[in-house]
Amino acid sequence: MAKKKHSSVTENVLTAEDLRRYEAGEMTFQEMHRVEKILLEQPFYADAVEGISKIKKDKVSTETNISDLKARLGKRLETPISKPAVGFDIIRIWKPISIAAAMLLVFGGTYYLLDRNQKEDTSALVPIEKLESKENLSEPVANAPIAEEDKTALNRKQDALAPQVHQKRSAVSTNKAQAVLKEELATAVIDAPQAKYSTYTNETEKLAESPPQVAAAPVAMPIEKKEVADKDHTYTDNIAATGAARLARASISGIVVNEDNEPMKDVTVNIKGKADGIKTDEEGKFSLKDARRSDIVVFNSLTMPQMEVPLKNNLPGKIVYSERSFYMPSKPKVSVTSLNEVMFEKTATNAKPEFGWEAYEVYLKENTKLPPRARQYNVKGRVIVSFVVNEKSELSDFTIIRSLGFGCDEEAIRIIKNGPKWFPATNDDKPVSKSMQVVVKFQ
Amino acid sequence: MQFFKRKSKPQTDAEYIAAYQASGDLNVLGELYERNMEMVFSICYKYLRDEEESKDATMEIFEQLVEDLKKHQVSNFKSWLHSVARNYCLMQLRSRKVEVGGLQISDDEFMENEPFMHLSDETIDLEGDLQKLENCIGKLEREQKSCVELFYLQEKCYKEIAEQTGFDMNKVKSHIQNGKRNLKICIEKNK
Repeated sequence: MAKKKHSSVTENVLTAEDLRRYEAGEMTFQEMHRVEKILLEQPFYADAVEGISKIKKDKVSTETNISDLKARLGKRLETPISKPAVGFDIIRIWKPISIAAAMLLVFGGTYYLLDRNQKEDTSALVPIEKLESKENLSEPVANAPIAEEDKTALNRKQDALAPQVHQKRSAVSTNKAQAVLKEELATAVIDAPQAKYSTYTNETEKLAESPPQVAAAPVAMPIEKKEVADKDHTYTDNIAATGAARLARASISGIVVNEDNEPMKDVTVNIKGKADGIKTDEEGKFSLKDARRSDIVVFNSLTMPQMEVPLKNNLPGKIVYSERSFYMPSKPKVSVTSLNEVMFEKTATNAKPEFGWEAYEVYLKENTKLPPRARQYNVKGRVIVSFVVNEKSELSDFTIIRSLGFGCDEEAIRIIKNGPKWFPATNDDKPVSKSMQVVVKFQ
Repeated sequence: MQFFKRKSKPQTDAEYIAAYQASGDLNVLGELYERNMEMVFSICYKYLRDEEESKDATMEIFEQLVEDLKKHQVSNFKSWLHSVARNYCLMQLRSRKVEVGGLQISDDEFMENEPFMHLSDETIDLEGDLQKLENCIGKLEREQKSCVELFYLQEKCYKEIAEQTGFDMNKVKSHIQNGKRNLKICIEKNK
């Protein structure tokens, strides 16, 4: 260990010995310059130097402490099966099982719904029900018409979707492929109002979207679920039978072009208030279904700031995505922040989530679950996570800037890791690696 | 210390991490950590100012690495380790503040006004575009300009620069830091 190879690898590496000698003034000017240069680049060493000078000032013996630490580390390595390691092993075994279970639920649920439309076969429900929480099981089904049953099925599906976002996304895309209807009339159900549903909607805080036509409170539930419901559009026919309130929804499509009328690919398109959306293809084409007149369509791309277009009347076939056609620029809300924005001028942009910050916030809100331990101790608050978005849009180097403990930190990282993709930061229109921070709220 | 005899011993931090992630062998991680332990201890001491606490912190941070490195990809180990260590210490200070109630810095200020950034990813290649660099250096304030030139172009150390310019060592350091930052901004602007 004492032998340090001075190859090119170690060019930017300092040893503790280097730093001590630097502090003690035992170096040549040339050596000092090298150390100083590295210190300017790497705060890791700069902080260590400050520590070393404090250690010196306080007359603390480094040697005793380090040899003590080495002994402790050696001891720790000899007994790998200490407490935390055991805990981790359990998690490691448990994780794949839980993922497998979630996948089973998602696919089972999707399959069930698809299957069900063809042959009203309720027996398929049984194995799924077994896996479900008691809450769902105790749901009263007795006096309910078909639609009622569908609601529980939906609830179940959504529950299953929540823990595995990736699954959700793949489900969305497969379902999207099925969508052919151009002008589709989807319907929402007003049925025997159930207290349970309305509280559920309140919890998920999506009431804001409630359309004007509808009066009764519980109606918010089908709207909230429409995202799920419409994935399987044949299913909406089922509800139509019992339907009361009708909401006109259309599928929209178009081509995104730049100022020079060239099609833009990989522009993300989604509806404001939703966490999910799609990307334009090679020809700049996109299509979205289930859009309502009151919706606003949000566009995001690697280098351009977010553009919002209200749907109101139909969109033009060609949508020009340029800085001059920002109909309604809106600022991201407070809870997601990024640093260093000030330092960049026009040629550089910061990393941003694929569907913009607003959609990201919706995603966080919908998917952040208070870990059981945090719930037990009634822990609430914010976790700040820092990570690097590299030029290939990969996320790495996760660090907790502000911790909450009780499993919240891990949950926050998990949510970001499994969440929407990111547009990397750019400099001169070239993607670059950049560190970002996201605040995850636990309520 | 039998792990020394393993074939193809890892060299860089990244190789160590890859080896650890592949094998889950604590000895690999221990070896990597031991190389950095004195740094981590020093960083802890900088914040905690207590021998025993710093040693405990150093060991706790190791435990954190044991778990985190299994789960996450880390591209710049030193920078990441620094933020882990630093944040751990700040967290300790926060809890200490609750216990004692005497620490002067309010934790919100402490935690959020100087959040750690992965700087090394973003540093620009100062030797890159010389023409532009010269223009930008020309625009710097006089003190910053002379310090930056002496440091980066003539490769003098702080002490020499201090002697030559008559500035205090700390002044020299801050002139170089600020000058470097201004240069970076200037170059990015003119790309």
